[in-house]
Amino acid sequence: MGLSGLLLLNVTFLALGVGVIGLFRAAGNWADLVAKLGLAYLAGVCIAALAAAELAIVNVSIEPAALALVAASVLVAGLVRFARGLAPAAPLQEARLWGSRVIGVAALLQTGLLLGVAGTAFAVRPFWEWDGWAIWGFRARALYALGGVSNPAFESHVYAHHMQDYPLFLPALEATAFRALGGVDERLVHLQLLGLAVGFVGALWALLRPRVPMELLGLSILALVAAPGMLDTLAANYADVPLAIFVALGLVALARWLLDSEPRMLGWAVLFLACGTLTKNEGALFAGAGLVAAFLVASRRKPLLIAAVATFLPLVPWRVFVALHHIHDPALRPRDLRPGALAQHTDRIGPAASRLLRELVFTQHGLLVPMTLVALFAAITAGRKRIALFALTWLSVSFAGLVVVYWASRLPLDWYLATSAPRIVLSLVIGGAALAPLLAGDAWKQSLAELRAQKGLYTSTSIPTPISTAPSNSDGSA
Amino acid sequence: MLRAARLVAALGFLVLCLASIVRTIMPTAILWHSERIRFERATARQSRLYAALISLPTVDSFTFEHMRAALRPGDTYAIQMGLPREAAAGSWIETFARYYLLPHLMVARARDADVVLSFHATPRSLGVRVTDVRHVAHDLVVSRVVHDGT
Repeated sequence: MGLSGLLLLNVTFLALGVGVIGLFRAAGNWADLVAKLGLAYLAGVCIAALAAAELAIVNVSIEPAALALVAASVLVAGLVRFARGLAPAAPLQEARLWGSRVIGVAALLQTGLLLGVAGTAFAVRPFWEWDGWAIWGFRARALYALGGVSNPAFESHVYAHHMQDYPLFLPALEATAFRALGGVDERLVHLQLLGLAVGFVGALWALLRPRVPMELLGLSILALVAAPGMLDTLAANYADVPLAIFVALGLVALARWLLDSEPRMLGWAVLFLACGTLTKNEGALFAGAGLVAAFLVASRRKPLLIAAVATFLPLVPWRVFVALHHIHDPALRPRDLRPGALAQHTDRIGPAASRLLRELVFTQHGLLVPMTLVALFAAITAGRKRIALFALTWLSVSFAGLVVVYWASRLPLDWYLATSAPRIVLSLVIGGAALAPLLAGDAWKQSLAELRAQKGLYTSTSIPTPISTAPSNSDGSA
Repeated sequence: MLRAARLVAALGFLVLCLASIVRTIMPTAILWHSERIRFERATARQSRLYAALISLPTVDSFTFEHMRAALRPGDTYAIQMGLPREAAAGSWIETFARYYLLPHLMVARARDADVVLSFHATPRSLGVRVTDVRHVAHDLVVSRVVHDGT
């Protein structure tokens, strides 16, 4: 099958996602549906890989043909439901800078071009970074070759070096890609990883565009994709960037729910955060921190509790498997988190926190971290204190959680930090940067409106904006 | 005052976005262009073994090809490591073998395996009855374990 098989698989993901959007009426009309194609594609990837990861636990593998059949059924049902509930297209009206559309479209095109250039290398690049093949590549090959987890590769102590307790989302996705490729192709499977980046761009655009001006969003997305640590870590087949992508999208959806109380946003948040928890162990920390932060600032908490249950539910079968087979994370055991154990090596807190901070502040991630900090300030000046508090709480709780992990672990601290800290902070960096345009968007719109009122310099849209540009103390209701 | 702060913050965000793009986009594009040039001429076999070449520069990568060629469908294997325990290379070789030799599965004890892969070692020292002993590379001896009843 080769490349054509992989392309067909990804068309299947897109069809599945479009069908789900239609079934849940997450798009009001055809233009809206087209604008959400990126979100639909990533949703399809998430749903299929979640299903593959869950089924792998009971030793059932998903064949691309069966997946295509399911996706076609969902697509037909979704399109029928979508066509029955078509609403007239309402143009998005907002105060905008002259040329903003050109800037936004140019930034998106540049993002596409950059992903295209990266794609030519992804398609020929082998697995060669240690964790990329020894953990993630190994698990994907084992799932592909053995069809599930009831075998020594996932159960025997002989294979303990391959981090048997790590969850199965990424290996299940890659194993499905191997099936579509017709065999293990360690080069072309990188294109499936690139698909996650493409889906991330499309999903971020779809989730944020109703709230963020085009020029600001386009440039933010380009800055994110071009930043060192994003595509290179993804190509290394480390799970840190897929995790960061899911956490970032989950947070953005949570933030949109906090602002607009749109129930579908909570659905997207659950889907992406659930994928995060099934991608890496620390996904549970980042997802939990996001839900705690939302709980802190939300006016309605019952839906959040239901969302929290739905987020962590898909993780349960895997944790049961891990517990039944007495598989341990060599970095952290439950007993390491007992107060008595923690009290014995408090000397690890300072170096761990300082190294993580250094990775955040001084390591090259473009200027994503300063962008996040300025966006937080912008949100406060625009009267969006609640959403700023949400972002700040998530960042703080996640950072504190990471410090606790390094503090509690029995591994030699210097080695542990050196081998993991540069990658583990990626979720904080990418998550913060994904929230940044939402945080800064209102300040931008308000400033434009004020300048327009003063000097008449900007496009003369006197159309009232659906989201007021006046400062307000309450998020989303201004 | 608040308006000025808001304007400064909004403009600051935009400027940081642009500055980040300007700083990173060319190096990122050049990186991927160079990665393509680096790998596009590699054969499938070179690509498969590249991880071993990078991670285990002191080991002939084709040793793993010899290991794979020695295994029949469904065979399990054990590795008899002749390198000293304190040498990290021994553990690395076993890790890569577990990855590279899938779907063949490694077992802990030679007597439970179908095939023993002896690296810088001789299967005679195992205390397990073996047959079909072959010296397939200068550092690798392959032998088949004789199980009772087989």
